[in-house]
Amino acid sequence: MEIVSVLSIPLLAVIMGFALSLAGKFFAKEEDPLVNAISELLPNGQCGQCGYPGCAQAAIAMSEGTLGPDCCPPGGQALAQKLSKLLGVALQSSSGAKSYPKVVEINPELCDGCTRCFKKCPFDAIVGANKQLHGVLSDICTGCGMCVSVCPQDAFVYKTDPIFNDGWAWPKPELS
Amino acid sequence: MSTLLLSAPHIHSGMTVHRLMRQVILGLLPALLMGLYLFGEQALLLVTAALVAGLLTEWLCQKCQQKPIGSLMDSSTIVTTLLLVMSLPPHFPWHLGALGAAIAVVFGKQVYGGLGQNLFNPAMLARVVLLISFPVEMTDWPAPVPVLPSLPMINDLADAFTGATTLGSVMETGSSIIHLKMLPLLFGISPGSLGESPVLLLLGGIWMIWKNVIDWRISASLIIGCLVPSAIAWWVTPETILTPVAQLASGGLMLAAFFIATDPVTSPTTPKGRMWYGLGCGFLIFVIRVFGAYPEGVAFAILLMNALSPLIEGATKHRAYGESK
Amino acid sequence: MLFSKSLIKGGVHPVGQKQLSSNSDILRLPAPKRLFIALKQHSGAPAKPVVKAGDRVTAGQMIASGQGGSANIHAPQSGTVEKIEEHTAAIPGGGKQLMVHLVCDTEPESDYLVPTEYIKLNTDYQTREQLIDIIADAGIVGMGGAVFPAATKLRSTLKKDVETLLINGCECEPYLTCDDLVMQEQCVQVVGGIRYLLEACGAKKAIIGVENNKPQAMQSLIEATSEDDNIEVKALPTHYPMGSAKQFIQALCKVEVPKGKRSTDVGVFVQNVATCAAIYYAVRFGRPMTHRVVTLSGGALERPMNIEAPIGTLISELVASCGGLKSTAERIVVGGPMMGHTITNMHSPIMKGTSGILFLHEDELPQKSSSPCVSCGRCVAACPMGLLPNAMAEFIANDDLEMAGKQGLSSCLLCGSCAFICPASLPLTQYFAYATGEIGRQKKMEQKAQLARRLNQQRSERLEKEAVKKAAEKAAKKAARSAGKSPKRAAKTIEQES
Repeated sequence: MEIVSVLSIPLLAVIMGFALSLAGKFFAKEEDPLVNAISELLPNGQCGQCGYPGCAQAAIAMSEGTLGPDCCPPGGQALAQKLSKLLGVALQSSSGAKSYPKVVEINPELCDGCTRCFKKCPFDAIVGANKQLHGVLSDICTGCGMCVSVCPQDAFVYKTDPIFNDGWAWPKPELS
Repeated sequence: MSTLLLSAPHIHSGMTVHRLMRQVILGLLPALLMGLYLFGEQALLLVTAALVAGLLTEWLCQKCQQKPIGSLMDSSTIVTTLLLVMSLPPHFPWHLGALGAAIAVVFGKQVYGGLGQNLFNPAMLARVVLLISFPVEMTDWPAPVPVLPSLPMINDLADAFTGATTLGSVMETGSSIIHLKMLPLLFGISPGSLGESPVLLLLGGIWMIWKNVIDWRISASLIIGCLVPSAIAWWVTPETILTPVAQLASGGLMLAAFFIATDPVTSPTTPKGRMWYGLGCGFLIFVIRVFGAYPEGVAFAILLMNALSPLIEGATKHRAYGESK
Repeated sequence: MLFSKSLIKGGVHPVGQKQLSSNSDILRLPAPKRLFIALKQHSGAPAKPVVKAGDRVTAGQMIASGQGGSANIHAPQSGTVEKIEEHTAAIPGGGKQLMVHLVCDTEPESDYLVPTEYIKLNTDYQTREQLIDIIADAGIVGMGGAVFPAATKLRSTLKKDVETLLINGCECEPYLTCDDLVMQEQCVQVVGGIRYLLEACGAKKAIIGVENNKPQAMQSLIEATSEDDNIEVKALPTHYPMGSAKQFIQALCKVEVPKGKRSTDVGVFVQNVATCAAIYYAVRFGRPMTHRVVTLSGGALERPMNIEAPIGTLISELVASCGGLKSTAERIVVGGPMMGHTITNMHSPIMKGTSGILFLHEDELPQKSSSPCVSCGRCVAACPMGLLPNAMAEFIANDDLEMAGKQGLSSCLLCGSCAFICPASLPLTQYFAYATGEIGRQKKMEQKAQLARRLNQQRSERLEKEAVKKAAEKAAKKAARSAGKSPKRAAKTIEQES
């Protein structure tokens, strides 16, 4: 009688193990759903600020856990929070100096209208024409910096995104 | 002038946690003094030892965590320690009482992250630990021997008692037909816990309700939760069940109704949730008293309901303004 | 108290402190030398200035026209526009705003503040729409707290049936008595304004709700409305936040405004008493909204009182009229003590929505340090909106704004009842103010990210198409070259032939 009870548990374990491995085989997904979900959220600017050549690679790195949820400057805090929820990774608490999302601005004195930047901008956020002063649409610009790297005049400056620079806002309380 | 930009409101009701705790201590005081009067210097030693141990432990814990040591922490510790000793047998060994207070502070409160974070009532947690660890000492109920030149009436009444609590003798004999005098029972002049004088606890409790320190909902529903089933049970089998009034007046019920179940940290915050919480506490006290292995079930009932408290709170969220009914 | 059924949910009973400033009449000052009139008087886009530096303006002349949800602004006094530049404003955060700097003509003779000579508005009207237009022209905004343009609110009633007009004379904020004194001293104007409002919003009856701590105002209003069958004066219990529109409606009409809806959706229209007086002046006399009554009070002020002042008067000048400070004002609060905000610079002007300026002594203030939450539930009981402030604050403290939103953060009035009652002195209101702003910004960022994604997709599609086109052109070129003729020349020959 005892032998039955001793054996029944391992037997159960073996059967369930089999069932699980079979389920894994039959219900396997072609693509990792997590990678897709992450890609859905990323801005897709292929700016490379996270250290990966493109957003698809970054998504894979995130799903593998080698890249944190707060690695995407264009996505800002909102994206970081969504990703941290999706990945189940806690965000580093926002202590100390808070960094706000940035956008770029063109210094009109330096721009010579070479058109390099607006050809490079992944979001078409720069307007301009040959030999004419270019401008940045700050409500599209994600601050990815692709333009900054190609500008021969060094005419780009970063500034805080106007969304975060619109007047004064109550800060989060700090308890004594 | 302050150059800080400070958030509204710029006035305050003046109610502070420290004041709340102080008022709870004041509410406890009559019953505590009665206990000390009835049970003598041994009880005084127990209370002192527990208070010193509780405060010392609190101080050490705060120090180790490099947290500020405020008067607030102290007053909440005093409340916890007092609740613990008032639920102990009056002649409980003082060093074990001190151990209990330390357990209440460390395992009841500090391990959860300090004041406001604990899931269970620290005093009741410590009491259960003591009950399980020291069953003999925890069930040794001396008869009250008033210390001071005793008033003749109290002396007369006190003579009538031997060493068993009302609830304990019902449990042992299985019969409610015991030698029971209501008046001394009401004033705690009977074998029982240090702080077991129902009328004085009731007075302290009503004063706290009047002062808006505790919510009447918990107290009232706890009493109803115990009273109604015990009344029914007594009506069915009066031979084995105490009368409803004796149920209320014995054991730690009054202490629970006004001082333990009303602990804000471990009770729900919603008004409806408080009703259910109180009812649950009262009913569980009745169930444990009548059907359980222990004569008194206050500590267990409170701990059980503490565990349910977040659940109750979630289930009794009231309707917000403008939401459909 | 225990079992009495109150008219509103939750709420608190702060000490009124109204006696400080309610015993003296409204003071009217000679015109100040200089006015600083902010172009952004309230939420919405700043008004567009229609004058420029050096222009002469007459009292009552429009100096900025409303745009994008803002109201017109008029010159309170005749004078010269010195410049339109930034100046410290009495706004949360104490930032600067664009203001019209007006150097007033000195009229040493006139002790009455409101000039007798001013440019009058056109006050002819036949229809409701025209009546509302007069109110719009006069630049009247709600003077209760939200500072919403009255005409915009009235226009929304054109499409909806308004049964009842509710006039808010609660003034539930402690210290403030400006509405009280307006009701006492200008009750005829208030009632006159109500009659115009009844016409403008199409309501059949009006109810004036006054908290029962203002018996004199009640009495004046009852006398002033003795001939109006359709205007009723009702006493309400003194209970904060009775004057919040949603709670006011709940108390008087026993209905709740459903979440996400407006008061007009339940057939009521709410307006403040002082706004009614302003409407009366505008429609009856063609006088735009250029002045308002401000309460100056607080334990640190020598002579607390109410002053009728032109919009744009510096707070420092008003304080001087009250005899200055008698002790250190630990906090200067603009608005009421429950919902107002602190300022650090008295050299900022009052605006259309400035109901009071409080100079609070240290003894009147709450303690600064907070202790841990003990879940006492007092905030839950005090919340007039039936929210769980303790739970929301906990989520916000842990940066979980999404959960805070699910708990109903968007319904929060920021009334301060929870923080007022909190024994732990937690800055609950600040948590909610912060989170509300932060959620708004995050939403904007999300929309921006979506836009960026879409643009990026369109761009890559376009680039692809261009690449395909280029490849096709290249192929065609190649084909043409292999046929012996360049495509260009082929095209030319075709042109010549035709």
